[in-house]
Amino acid sequence: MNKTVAIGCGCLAALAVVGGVIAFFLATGYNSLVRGSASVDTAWAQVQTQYQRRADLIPNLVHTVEGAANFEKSTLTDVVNARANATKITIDPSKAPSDPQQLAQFQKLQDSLSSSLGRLLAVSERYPELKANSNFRDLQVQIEGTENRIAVARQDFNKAAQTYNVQVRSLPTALYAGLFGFQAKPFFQAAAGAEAAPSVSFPSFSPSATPK
Amino acid sequence: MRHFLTRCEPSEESLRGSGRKTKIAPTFVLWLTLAVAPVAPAFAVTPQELLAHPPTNYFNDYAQVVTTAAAVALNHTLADFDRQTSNQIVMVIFPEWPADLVFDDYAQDLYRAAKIGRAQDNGVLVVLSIKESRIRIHTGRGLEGALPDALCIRIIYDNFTPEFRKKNYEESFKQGLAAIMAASKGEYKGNGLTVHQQKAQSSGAGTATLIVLFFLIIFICVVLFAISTIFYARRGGIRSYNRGSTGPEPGGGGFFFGGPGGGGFSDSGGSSSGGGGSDDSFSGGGGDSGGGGASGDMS
Repeated sequence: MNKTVAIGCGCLAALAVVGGVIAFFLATGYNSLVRGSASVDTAWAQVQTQYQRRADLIPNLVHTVEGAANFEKSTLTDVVNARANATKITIDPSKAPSDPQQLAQFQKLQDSLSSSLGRLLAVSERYPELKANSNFRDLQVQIEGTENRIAVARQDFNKAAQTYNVQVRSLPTALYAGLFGFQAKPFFQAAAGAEAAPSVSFPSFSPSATPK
Repeated sequence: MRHFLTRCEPSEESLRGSGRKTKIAPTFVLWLTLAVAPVAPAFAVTPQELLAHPPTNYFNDYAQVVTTAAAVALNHTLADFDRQTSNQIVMVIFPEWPADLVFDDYAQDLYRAAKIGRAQDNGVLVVLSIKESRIRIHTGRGLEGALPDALCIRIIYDNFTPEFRKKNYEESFKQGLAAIMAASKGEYKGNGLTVHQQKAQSSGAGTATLIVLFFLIIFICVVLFAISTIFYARRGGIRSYNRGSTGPEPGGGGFFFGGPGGGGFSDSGGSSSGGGGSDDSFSGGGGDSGGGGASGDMS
């Protein structure tokens, strides 16, 4: 064989191998980005489901509480207004939000609904007829349960989003992530002054009144 | 270790349920405790410790408010429930609750650490703190339909609380667990084995197949070697020398193959029976929870 042809073939072969290796890593990196992005979207859908579940429970709660004699109107209207505001802002449940401003606004409205709900349930402690009402008790438990589910869903979403963000920003994938349209995703921020674990700040539910 | 020692001495606290026993030789009690050892707390006494070492029984009484016999019976009931319905119900009872730990969050953390429930997330975790009289029934995703939050709080009131207030702990737990089992009964079907038994069986079968595979590979190598020496000999021309040596090889390999194969299969039969035919220990099946359930105050 001619020496230059042999060297040429050798170089081509080496280039082909290197090209193959690069393509392989590109493919696996791209696949892991796709997987990460999909898991963030799934976690977001779960968050939306639980927020929706809470929004659906509130009208029933308001209706039950209205029936109690002399219930403070202001706390009730607070809850009704907070719910209206929270459901006004719509983020597509099938795709995790990419705009940090939008997510921060969404979080602010939902958290204000949480606090007005907490106030409502705290105030209702002073009404024995409400505490004895089994319908109210069930609704209170369901809302507490939903708040727990929201906390868990948010934690899972944050975990998925942070794992994905680390992937997008790490060096080999960072070079081409932008090309394929993969951006870092915003996640829920801890409220100022909150503890590490988002606990439900609801009054501990005590069956001291005789339940029906 | 401190707890283990107090169980050995026949003091009033440790024999609360059976006050008839007066003087028992300490060694006999030690043997008795070891014989029914499955429910004796090994090292996890505080909630935080339990997160690092998830429970190994279905019924875990770290406050020692029920007798050992009752604890073993309850554990057996829950293990049988796992066998019949594949639902895993785990109960942990603490004497008191640390002030810096949030009760509801802890239930979620422990549920995930112990992986209660199988692939369908069909698990229930009951956490109890005796001093604060606080209880939580924490449901896995797969049982949220059968045990919605409102039903959980009802079970806490109607089944756990009445006897708990009178300090009849054993009766309270029996009634509460019976209600939970009744509610979750029809959801899923079991396969007659607890997760722990299933794992023991499959690991036994796994080692058997590994042994078989190992000797198969050796056999193939030997055959290939024999073929290559024949081929080499053909090319080299030394025929008579090799004809004799290729004879015993396949025969020896076959003999080899037959022996360990029988030994490997009998191995799987031995390891599946675990602790003498009634292995009631708990092993998580990989279930997850979304935070559902209800908490209550039983004081």
